[in-house]
Amino acid sequence: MVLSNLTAGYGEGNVLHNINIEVEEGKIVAIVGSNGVGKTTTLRCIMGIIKPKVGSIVFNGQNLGLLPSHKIAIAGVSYCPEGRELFGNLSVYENLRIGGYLVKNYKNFKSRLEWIYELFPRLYERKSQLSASLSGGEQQMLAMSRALMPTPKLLLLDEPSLGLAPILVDNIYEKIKEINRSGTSILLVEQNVDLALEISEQSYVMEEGQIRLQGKSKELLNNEYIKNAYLGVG
Amino acid sequence: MNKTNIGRSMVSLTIYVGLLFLADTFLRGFYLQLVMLFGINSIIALGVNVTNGYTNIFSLGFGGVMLTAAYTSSILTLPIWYKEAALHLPSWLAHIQWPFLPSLLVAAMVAVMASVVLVLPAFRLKGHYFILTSIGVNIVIANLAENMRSFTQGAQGLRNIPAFTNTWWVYGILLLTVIFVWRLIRSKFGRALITISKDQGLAAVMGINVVRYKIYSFIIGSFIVGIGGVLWVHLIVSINPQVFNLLFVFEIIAMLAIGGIGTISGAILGAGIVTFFTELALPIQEGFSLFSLQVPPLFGLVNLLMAIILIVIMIYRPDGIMRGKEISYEYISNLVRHFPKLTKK
Amino acid sequence: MYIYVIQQLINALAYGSVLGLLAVGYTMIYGILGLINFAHGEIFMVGAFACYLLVSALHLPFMIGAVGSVFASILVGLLLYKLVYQPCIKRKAPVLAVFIASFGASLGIKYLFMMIFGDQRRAFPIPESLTGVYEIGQITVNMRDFFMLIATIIIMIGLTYLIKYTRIGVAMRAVSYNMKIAEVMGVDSAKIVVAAFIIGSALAGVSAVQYGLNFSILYPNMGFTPGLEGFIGAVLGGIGNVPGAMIGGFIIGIGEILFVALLPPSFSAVRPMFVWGLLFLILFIKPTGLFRPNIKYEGIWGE
Repeated sequence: MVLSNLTAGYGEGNVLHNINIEVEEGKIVAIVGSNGVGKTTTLRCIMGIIKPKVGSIVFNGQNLGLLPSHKIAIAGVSYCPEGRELFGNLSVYENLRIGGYLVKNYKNFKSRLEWIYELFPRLYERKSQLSASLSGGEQQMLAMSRALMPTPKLLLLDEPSLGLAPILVDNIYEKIKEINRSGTSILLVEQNVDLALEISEQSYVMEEGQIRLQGKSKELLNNEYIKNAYLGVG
Repeated sequence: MNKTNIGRSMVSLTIYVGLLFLADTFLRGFYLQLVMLFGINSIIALGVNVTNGYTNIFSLGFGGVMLTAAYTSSILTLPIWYKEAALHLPSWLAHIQWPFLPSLLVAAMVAVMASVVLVLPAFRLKGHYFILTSIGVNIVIANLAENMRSFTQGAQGLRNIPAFTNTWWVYGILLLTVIFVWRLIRSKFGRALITISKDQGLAAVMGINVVRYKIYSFIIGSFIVGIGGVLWVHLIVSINPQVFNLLFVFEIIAMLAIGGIGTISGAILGAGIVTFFTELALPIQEGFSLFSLQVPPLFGLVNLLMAIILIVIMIYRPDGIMRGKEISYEYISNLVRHFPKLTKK
Repeated sequence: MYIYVIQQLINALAYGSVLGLLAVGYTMIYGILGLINFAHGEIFMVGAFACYLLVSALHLPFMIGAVGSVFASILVGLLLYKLVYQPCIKRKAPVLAVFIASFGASLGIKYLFMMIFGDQRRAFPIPESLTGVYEIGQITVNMRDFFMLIATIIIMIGLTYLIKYTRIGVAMRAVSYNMKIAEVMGVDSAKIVVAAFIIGSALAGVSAVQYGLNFSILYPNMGFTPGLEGFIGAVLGGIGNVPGAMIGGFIIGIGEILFVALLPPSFSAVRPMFVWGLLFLILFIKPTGLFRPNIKYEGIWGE
């Protein structure tokens, strides 16, 4: 997927200015930066929640910028929002069912469901429970699972570590690696720069709506600016 | 107020009084009533505008408030012989017949009390729930009027109400109302109301006692609307529980919606458009012949057209015609200046 | 005495289901779009007229009339959506404007029919097959009430199944909770909205047939009171909550009939007061209604 020259915002002003990001197939790419710089806005733009004012989002030959959200989902992109945004009035199972809305036949749906339950056994235990009553970690698991149900080619993950205890965060990140191994490309937005740089192959550092730095994550880990500004703080 | 403004106001006032004189002298019957109805509707629209427009409390209960005022004034001013014949009032009510002004004021105050008692408890309801309750207030008050037969003669209603209303009363009160609302909005009180209408949370943080201001705004609106109701009933000289029903409420809302809610000019403009359109178009409903075609009577056509116009305006121009601006000398001169440009296309 | 009460209760069930069906229609549309469709009562009225026209004027069998009522209601509902609500949504009209437009649509349809048909009361066609009565001990049950009640129960069961278990039902509930995220999951929310309008309007059509069979009359303003009371039922049940609306509608309908039946006749004119009094009471105690409302965001407009 390639984002070219993306400029977008809410209402009159623009949050993103001329963003260029590339996600190669099968890779994990991270966008890092502090609060409010536009990382979530980028993901929202890709997913069609807000429309780009300038620029294009090319994915598998299609310009996602022209499509409504549900068609973007059909194209193979999935979104796990910041703060989870579960359907609080639905149970765990029903949330997964919506996640799997696009799954064509019942057999596929069942096998995806089983794969999810293997990945996150706790969800199976709580499958009839109202999603609003789950703990923070369980909600995060559910949010990711919901996004994974249609076997997306590209998964957009927004701040998966937000509000979770460190041990849960490690757990989640292990699962993210597993998900990537099974063939899903991942675009990860993360405030915790450490985690992000460790798990991803390519990273982009965003500040005030623009890409300040980019490169292979391993190299960025040793970058002086990053070390001073972000590492140890994130 | 500088010299130009005083000068302008004097001229406007003279023109105003002059027009009233002409109307009073030359208009008769239907047209006179139409002009007065326009004035009354303007007053009502302005009153509703204070609550619904400036403070953004969308209440539909003013029909019931007007009904209360109208019945109160009727009972106070009806001739004694009628009251003895048709109603069973307590003696202190049955043997009095009041003149216009005291009756007007008392009726408006009764209306305010009724509105406070009935609508206040609903204030803590949100949005749609509140609107629903306010609709209910209309229906409940109308139902009360229907059932308190000893006071109101039930569904039959009352007649022989003294015809106090004339152009001077109507337009005098209208002028007072306009001036009052105009100054109100520009005062600290008014600005507090507008802040509340935009963002209640912000208003509270700024130290405005939101609930109290809402109540005040409601009281003011109800008072004005009550006066409108009294003027109305002394023009039509009869009353029944359905005169200010939901259809009437809708017409007033339509006036504000078309004219532009939240402005004085909008309220009056809307009142004018709706009143004149409705009354003047009414004859069409009787059926007429166009060239050699005979168009049959179509009752309900005018209301239907009104509804369609309203829907179209709400879709394409939800702010109404005035869009939150007032008519002033600057506005008119701007309009005139741009007119050639508009017609060039 | 008890027999009398039970008899009244049986009679009241008919009106209860009329209101219950209307309440569900209101609540579905409110749940998904966050707007009160004031014209719902008129959708109901048009259904009744369709049935009347098909049976009394064209002398078609009653079943065709009933189905016609449903179709006509759906048609009016879709027209309302396309001509009034969708343009408002597209233009992001403020809540008040939509509200007023909705009000206007209600009056417009009413006056259109008044213009065409005049406002006199007409007799709703009641088929021969349903004019009988069943006798159970000392209690009489009208055949037509009985069948309509069966129909309503079947519809209720079907609707509950739809909402709880089917793909589209879950999608509807998801869309009412958070439209944007539902779209992200691949749900075409426009189609869901249309589906809600279709179902809600169809229910109004059934309700119209039920009303006609029970009260035997129809006239252009007939949608006003049932519509309003149906809406109250929806609010009572927690707006957006489908089973709640059904129950709320029944409570209002049954309550109103019982109220009139059990009080001396001189009180009958106070009938509307019961309904509104009940509403005021419930909203005073529990401002969000008896059951849990089903919306997190107030439709697409926010509060």
